[in-house]
Amino acid sequence: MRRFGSRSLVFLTALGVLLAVAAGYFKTEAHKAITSPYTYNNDIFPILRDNCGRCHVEGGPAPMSLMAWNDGPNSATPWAESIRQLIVGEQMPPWYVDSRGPAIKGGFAMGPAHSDKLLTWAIGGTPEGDPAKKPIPVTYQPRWSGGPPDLRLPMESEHTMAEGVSDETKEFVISTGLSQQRWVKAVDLMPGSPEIVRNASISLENGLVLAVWVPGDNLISAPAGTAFRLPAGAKLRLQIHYRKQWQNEGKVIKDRSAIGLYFTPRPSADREIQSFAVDGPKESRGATTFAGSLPAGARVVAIRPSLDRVYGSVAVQAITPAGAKVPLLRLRGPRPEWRRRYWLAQPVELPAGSRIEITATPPSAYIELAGAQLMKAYPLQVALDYVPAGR
Amino acid sequence: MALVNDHLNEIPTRQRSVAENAADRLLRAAYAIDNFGDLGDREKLISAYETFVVAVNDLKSAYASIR
Repeated sequence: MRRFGSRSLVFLTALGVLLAVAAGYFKTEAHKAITSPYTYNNDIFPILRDNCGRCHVEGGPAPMSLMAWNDGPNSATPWAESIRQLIVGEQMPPWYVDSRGPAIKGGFAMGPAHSDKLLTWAIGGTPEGDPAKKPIPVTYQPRWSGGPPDLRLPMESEHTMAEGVSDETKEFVISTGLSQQRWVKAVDLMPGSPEIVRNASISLENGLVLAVWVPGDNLISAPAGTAFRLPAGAKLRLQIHYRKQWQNEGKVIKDRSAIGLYFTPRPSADREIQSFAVDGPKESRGATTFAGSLPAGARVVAIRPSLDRVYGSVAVQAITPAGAKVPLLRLRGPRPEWRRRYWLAQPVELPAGSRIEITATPPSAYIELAGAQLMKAYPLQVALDYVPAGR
Repeated sequence: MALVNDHLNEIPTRQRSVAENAADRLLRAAYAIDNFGDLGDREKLISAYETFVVAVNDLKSAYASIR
């Protein structure tokens, strides 16, 4: 009896140990192993704050905040897989300037070292790190990135995004009330409801595009000595793409955004910014090349591509009548919903008759096949903003 | 990553943005290869590998001056 009891004890102990090991094993399997040496509090938060914090912040324009470690849908950990997908798929951060091309003002490219840390953390168990180093909460702070504008022009009335509407584009005409001609170096937008204002363009009614706005970008002024001309009594056309975030589906949301104008003294003769557009083919499949010729000599200050789909690359170059090739813009993996005006760091002087050639290539199959849904697409076009050359 | 983190200053200035750009493409493609390999998605894996090879060659070219 004693011997049997002893054997039973050994057997039961062995079974217990086995079960404990098995339980431990399955518990470990149920949670992702921590393989990342980088932690949220120490390494990841500063990267997210500096690269993504303009939008991915509580109350901001992005559908989720990434400014906390793991605190429900408004924190980074539940979105780790999306972070991985969007970085690998070259969708985020949404600054598509290829550094092998001409230098462009502004932007927020994230270098490979930061991408590597984010990816390692996202697939490596998303560790928090030292809880004592938990970052202080960050919330969205609406502000004019260029400082208070000289003239603030709110929409004349509120726009209501109805309960059943999740995506719409609306146009509003706003009177400037200017009694005399004025010159403008920059135009900005202050969204009334940042959570639904996805992007916008501001132009003179039936005229020049003054600003192309996306959330998170800092305001950039026209180069010194150049400006947009606003005639007396000018009216502005504000086109806003509204889109509800997932948590706002089914809600009624109102917006009354405001345009900000930044005036500048009259530039020297003929330094008024003008525009020249080259339209692409209506249906672009695969690699696409299209071109147009500059009617007059131009000092190109900015490029504004509008895209009909995701491309692997978009290159804009000028070919002068003498045959010289002058690169103007090079984008990598640009997406149509992030439509911008790219201000050249160094304006480019081109003689009359220069041919503007745009080459767009499709993305790698692994990016294209990732199947990310487009939020917005436009007719394929590249516009050049310029002032007359040699004046 | 060590090439970019520790040795970027060893190549001519004009090559640095080329090297950083190549490293960025290489990094993203490497993670894509890892992911599509796990998923067994041959088509995307090959596509990511092609991007990876181009990036490696660009990186080699950028650092050619110090080899």
